[in-house]
Amino acid sequence: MSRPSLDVGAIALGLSAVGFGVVCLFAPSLSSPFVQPILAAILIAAGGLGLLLSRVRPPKGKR
Amino acid sequence: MGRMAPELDLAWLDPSLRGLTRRDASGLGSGLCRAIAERIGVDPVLVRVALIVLILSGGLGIGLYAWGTVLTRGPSGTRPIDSVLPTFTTWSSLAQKAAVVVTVILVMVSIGQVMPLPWAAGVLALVVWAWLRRRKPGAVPQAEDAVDDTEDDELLIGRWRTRMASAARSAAEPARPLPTVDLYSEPAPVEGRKPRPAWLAGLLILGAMGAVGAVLSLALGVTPMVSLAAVTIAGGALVLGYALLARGRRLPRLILVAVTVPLAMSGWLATQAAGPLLPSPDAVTYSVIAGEKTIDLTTIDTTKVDAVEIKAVASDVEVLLPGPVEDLRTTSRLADVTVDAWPDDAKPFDVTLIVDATASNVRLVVREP
Repeated sequence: MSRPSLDVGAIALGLSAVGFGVVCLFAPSLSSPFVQPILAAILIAAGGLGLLLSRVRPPKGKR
Repeated sequence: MGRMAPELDLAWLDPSLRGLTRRDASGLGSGLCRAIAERIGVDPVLVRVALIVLILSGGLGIGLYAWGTVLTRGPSGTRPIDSVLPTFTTWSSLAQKAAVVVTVILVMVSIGQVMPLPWAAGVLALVVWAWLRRRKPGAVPQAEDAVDDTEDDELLIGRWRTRMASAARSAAEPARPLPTVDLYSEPAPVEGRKPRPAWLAGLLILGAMGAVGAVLSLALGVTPMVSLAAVTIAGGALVLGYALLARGRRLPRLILVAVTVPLAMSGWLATQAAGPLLPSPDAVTYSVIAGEKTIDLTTIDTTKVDAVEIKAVASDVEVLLPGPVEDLRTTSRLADVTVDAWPDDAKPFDVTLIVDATASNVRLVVREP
């Protein structure tokens, strides 16, 4: 019996939360024009990683 | 029989989305992203990421998602718009499209009042995408479904019969050969077990997040913004770790929704709190983010300072002034900036006072030194 697939939604959300928290922590020392692109890049990276993980399937022993 | 406009759906933007149906609405959302992904043949995560990017484009994605949901048929086979606004289908095609465009713009303007976000790139990307999808060979031309109100019912019925006949001809084409099934082969491996919901772990994660916030803000006395950042990081790390380590169980979606609350608050506060306010050496700046503060300007030296800028985000601020301000500039978004009555005999406070308040209460009081 194969293992259950990864919970990519939770992984993407967890990565986004960590990234947003770090940006919030250092926001006063960041230049304001860069904050939104950084947040967008975090979301894209987390979503992209989730997308990649959802594409990776364990071998099913196809014959 | 009265004339009715054609049913407005997502084919307006992309002809390949004609007659889209949300078959599975059991998740967090309405199932729209999944339905679009299945129709255009991509992973649903990709559509969700695109939606998030559009939401960050001035809230464009919020309006599009809401209209996309109410204009597509759900699992029950009915469109939400038909039960919410039954007369919508009697409107002309132009009026329906105008309603969509106007309400989406209103949503973006409302969100822009609270949180200014760049919207041009998202709108441009949407327009380019719709243009490309319409130009795609094989797509149903848009002009075909744009029915003129002046056409009579006989013409509509005739067009419908033509389409049915065309569909029947395509159905009569030779079917693909059936797959060969070998009954003597070994059974195919069973799909992965369905993970069980982990409510206890989810509640423990929420409890740990609350504990981190309480310890930092109450015991250690750090600012609310730092506490919020730490709570978000702790929640994200715990969710991430659980998802990677415990594959047999899955955090309930309701728990994940709860984790998105501090995430959204962190993102919003980060955009508001970033950067210096006034780089000028002749200006004094005060920034209050998610806190309470009394700013005393009664002792400020007006011979060295030309301007004072006060930025308040989700805060309660009281500003003590030595006298009436002659040049007061206020910008408020969901905020309340109140000025107590100036005393008649007080000496004027000769600086430019700039108050930028977002979701805050700012009170200006004259306290003579």
